[in-house]
Amino acid sequence: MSFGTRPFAALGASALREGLLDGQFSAREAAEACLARIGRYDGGVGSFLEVTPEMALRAADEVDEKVAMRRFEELGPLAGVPVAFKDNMNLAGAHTTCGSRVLAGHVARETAVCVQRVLDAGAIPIGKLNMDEFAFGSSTETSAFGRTCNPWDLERVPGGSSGGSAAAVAAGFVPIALGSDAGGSIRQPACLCGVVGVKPTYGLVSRQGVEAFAESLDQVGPFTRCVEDAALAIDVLAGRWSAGAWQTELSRAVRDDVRGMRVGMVPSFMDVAGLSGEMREAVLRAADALALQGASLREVEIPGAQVAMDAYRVLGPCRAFENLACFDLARYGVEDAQKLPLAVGAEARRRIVLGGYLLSTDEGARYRSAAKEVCRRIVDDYKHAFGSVDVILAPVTPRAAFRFGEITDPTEMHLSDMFTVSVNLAGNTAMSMPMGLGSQTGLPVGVQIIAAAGGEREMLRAAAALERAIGGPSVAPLFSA
Amino acid sequence: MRAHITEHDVIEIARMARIRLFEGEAALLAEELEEIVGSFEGLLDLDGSVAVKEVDR
Repeated sequence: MSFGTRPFAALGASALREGLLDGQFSAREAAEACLARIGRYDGGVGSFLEVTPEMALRAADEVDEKVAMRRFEELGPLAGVPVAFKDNMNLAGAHTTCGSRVLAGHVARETAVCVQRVLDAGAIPIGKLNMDEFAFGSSTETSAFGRTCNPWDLERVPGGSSGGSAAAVAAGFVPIALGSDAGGSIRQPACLCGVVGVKPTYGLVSRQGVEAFAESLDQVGPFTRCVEDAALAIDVLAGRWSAGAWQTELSRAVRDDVRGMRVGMVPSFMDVAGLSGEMREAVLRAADALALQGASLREVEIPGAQVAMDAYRVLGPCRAFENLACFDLARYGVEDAQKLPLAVGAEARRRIVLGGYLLSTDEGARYRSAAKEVCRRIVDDYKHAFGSVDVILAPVTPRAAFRFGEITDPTEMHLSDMFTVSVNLAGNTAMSMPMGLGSQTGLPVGVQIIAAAGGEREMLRAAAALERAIGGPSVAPLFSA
Repeated sequence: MRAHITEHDVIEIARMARIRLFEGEAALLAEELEEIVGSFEGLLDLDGSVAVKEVDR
């Protein structure tokens, strides 16, 4: 379905708002087109676990009423924009399963703060998106409710754990989806699906109402098809917007150029065995593009990052064990919770048992203590580096999207996040920015832009400069009709 | 030093976490976890310092 000469699926939040205000289409028409597209194509992708048409049309009608009454000052910056949510975020009246059979049938009674902020800004709630079970995975293959396919190649994974969110945006089902990232779960799938994915600074976005994987690492952020939409979404998620204003501080900042920006490169990241040539090329092309626009390049090192993955593999399962051990199933409507063994999948069992071991033995205590020391070192490493640079460029993940079943070794799967976990351990912000298609696979490749905590402005400026130089992400060709 | 994780350890932890294991899974998990925990040795040997220098491109 198209509006004017532009296919609706390709429209971003800004274009949708403009069309709405110009009277090109109503919010209901936009929502209906979105729902129809999902109904027609998502069977082949599997990004949605639940679609919420009644909620969507009700919200759309509210926006249309304000437009009809010319109450523009009441419209938020996401007025009429379809948005979908990872299934670990509560939306009252819709299911929250975290991709686990344990929570099948559970209907949320409350709405997560991050979801509510998006709705308050006028967004249209389209539904809930597939994910790795309890966010334990990097391919969305561990979901109890079936796999999500990469819209660029349906035989390949979309990445994970927020694979449904990345796929829904790449397939043009929604312009904005929310995901969560404890070790790379927004950035890695964004890279594999060729869309923008941002992990905001730890603490910028409320996690209240989001089912936790690891509270000290989790952060909610957006998937989008352009940098401006990502900037808008971050400000909305952080509660930094005013009714009637179409722009936010960050969405205005992306127009600034990068002259004088100091860009860091991490040689040890680029020399990692297993980093594919095309992912390496993507980082180098990004560096060249920024340098051509006036940025200066420097080398920095983050020595602690070498063992960040080990620290993450210690701390993550400990938090997972604590979370599930504290899981009050009665709250989710599961009766006789104490007698019911949790029917969790293999990867969840592995991580929970590992966490239990690390939390209950002397040896585990030694590793936990070392992992926490690594975190302190990484915080210092980044602090030192950001004394000399404004942003750091790095790979997102070692390789482009892999085939279903191609990686079965959990340790190898963990390596998908080898370039992203240090950012979570430090609490910084980072994003995955599409860099076109890889020279080896023809699949999406990307670059990670890392900034200090609170450095979203610089990070998004760099991303927007790349977007201007390389071209923005597009809807995957299979779904661009 | 390689960790020694027994099938009994795994069964106990699974019981605490109320996780259902399949028959024979505890032994397999014990073996797998020994390997994973063994791989954490690198955590105890962190060294290096931050270096920043200009790049001539």
